[in-house]
Amino acid sequence: MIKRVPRSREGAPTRSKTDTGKLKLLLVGLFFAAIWLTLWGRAAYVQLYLGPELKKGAEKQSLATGFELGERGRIYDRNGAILATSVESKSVYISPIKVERAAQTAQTLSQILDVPKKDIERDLASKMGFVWIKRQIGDREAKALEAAKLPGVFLTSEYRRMFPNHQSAGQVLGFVGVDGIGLEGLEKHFEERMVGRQAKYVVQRDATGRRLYLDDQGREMDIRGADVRLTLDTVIQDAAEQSLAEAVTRYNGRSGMALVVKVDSGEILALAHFPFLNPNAANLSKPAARRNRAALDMFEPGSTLKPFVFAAALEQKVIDPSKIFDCENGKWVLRGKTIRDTHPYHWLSANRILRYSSNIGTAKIGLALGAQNYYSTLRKLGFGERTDLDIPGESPGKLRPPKEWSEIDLASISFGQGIGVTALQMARAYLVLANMGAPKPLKLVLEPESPPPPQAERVFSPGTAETVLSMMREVVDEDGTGKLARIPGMVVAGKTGTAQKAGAVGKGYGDGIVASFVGLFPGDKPEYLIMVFVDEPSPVDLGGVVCAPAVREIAIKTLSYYNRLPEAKLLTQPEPSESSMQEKATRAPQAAAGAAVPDLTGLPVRRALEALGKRGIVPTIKGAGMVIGRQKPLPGEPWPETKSGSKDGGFILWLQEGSK
Amino acid sequence: MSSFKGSLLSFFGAVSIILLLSLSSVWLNIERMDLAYDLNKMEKDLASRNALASKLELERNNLISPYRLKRLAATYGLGPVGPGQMRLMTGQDQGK
Repeated sequence: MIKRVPRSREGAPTRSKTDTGKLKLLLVGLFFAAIWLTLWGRAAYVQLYLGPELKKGAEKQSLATGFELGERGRIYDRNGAILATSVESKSVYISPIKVERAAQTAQTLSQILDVPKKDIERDLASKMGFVWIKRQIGDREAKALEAAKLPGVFLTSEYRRMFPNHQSAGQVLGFVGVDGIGLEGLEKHFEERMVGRQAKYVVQRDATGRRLYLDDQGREMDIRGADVRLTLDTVIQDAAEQSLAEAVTRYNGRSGMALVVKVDSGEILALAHFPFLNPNAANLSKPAARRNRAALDMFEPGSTLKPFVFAAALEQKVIDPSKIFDCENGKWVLRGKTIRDTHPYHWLSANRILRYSSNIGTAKIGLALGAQNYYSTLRKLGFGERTDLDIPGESPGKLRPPKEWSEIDLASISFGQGIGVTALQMARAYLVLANMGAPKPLKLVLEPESPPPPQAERVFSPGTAETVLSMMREVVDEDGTGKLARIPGMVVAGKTGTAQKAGAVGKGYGDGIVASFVGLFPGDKPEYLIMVFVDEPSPVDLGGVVCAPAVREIAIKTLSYYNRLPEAKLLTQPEPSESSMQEKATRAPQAAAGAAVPDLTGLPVRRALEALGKRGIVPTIKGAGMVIGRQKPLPGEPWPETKSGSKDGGFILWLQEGSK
Repeated sequence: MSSFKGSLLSFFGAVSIILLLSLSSVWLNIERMDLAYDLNKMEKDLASRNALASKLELERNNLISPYRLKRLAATYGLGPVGPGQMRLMTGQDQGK
């Protein structure tokens, strides 16, 4: 079979239709392959070359960096009561370009936030993207703003520092600024410890801008600031502040300070200042009221320094309590300078010199002691150096070296003039006496614990300290200058001070007086050291009149708080024998004989005990609670007959929980 | 022929597994986002409760502060104990 080959008219063979179709297919295939390769190439370029950059761009759109600011650490008192804490509060800001109807927005903001309308209008006219309107507003204001739903007005959370005890220990605690940074006091000193840390982490954003936490990266760190615990006790602090305020206002003083120190540990239980500072509104206070005067202000202590010259002289055996000195009838000229006493005395024994606070007698003891000995003692007591409590800006006081002392300087420093001290230094020095001659550092902060100080050498022998304490007991319990500090049933040791203040200009002294009183309770084995200073009291300026009653009042509150106040049975004067006491305690007074037993049910325990105590009866208490539930004998019955040896007089009270 | 069928089956099997894994991945991502929303909501709730607890603690400390208690005590005729008014009742409750 022979195939016929198609030929053209000229006779040449022609291409078949199949070949053309194949070619077309090939071309189309190549075309698509090129497109395919281009796409793959582009895809490879985008994925492999541009990929990382594009990924970053995409993450920018869907991921955002979040910040979280930790809460500032708290300040606690020794019993765990909160002295300073931070609470979340809202702050208001605007984005002026997003605000609609500016006039209405200004009006609403002004009404809710109590901010002048013109101030808000000025902020609204700003071209900035972010303007604060009011920071750290109250919860009610925040709720009202949220309800108003103002476009362009936003709320953000911040921490606000709050002091629940208001003015209590205001100068000690200090305060923080609106940005939560400590500006004064312990808030400033412990800024690094207490400040909240900032955590930075990545969050995913959805289409509406909501932020979602997909993992805890960056959030696992503890961002809360650390706490601080003080030695202060809010109850004692309040007692000291109230008594101090009363003393300063009654005697028209400019300011005042009060300290309560636990003798065995050196812990400061109260450090009070007047005028008060409320750290919640520190910006409203005068700068002078913000000073922690006990640490910052240096003053001449006057007679409250005298016990130390006596102690030094006793230690050096320069004097003994019975050694007598001529007090020059109240006026003594030394090297052209006149030293005076408040009351004229002639010959006084050393103990009476302290009891009556004679400047002349003390100056003579100081001169007998010598400058080097006295200076050495003052240095050992800590004068001229800081107490190293955690208080910023503490003053070291002023104690010149003995080579610069003239004879008149030695005499005047002996009775507390010509030396600059702080209240804290005085407290530290008196702690030495109270601890029977052994130095004890003051303590204000329990946490964080400070490293133990190096063991300091004993300043006085126990015998010397006891002798000085006995002299100080005479100041209060005998006819000394501190009679107003007496507490019935308790031995009290103390020392008054009435010091002249240096003049404002030039040399010499002005009219100002610093009145002071230092008390040790009990006076034989001191447990509490209490000091009160009042600056420029008038018309009376004697420490024994202005400050001693305040010290007594603080002591009574402190001792009662710690159950150390003498009990009623110890106060009978004169002291009877034990047998007569027993008889008196168990026998109802004659006046009560024949009278009916009162109805004590429903009364608080304290009232019921007082009522029975007046009749010499200490009843037996049964049960638990604060209110009398029932009693024996019943109301209206005659008083029970006293049995020999029975303390309760046959009286029994059953307690129950009260409704109040 | 049977090897071609086997290859085809393997191909479709692989495609199915890939599809299944992809769908699982999508489902897991949706669940993850749901959890993130829930977590976000709960964290806000927790923060709000913590803030309230802080405020209540502050209020409590204010209410039991000595100056408040003193004022309250005065309304009930109570005041600090003075010398000679204190009696220690240690051991008296043993008779109940």
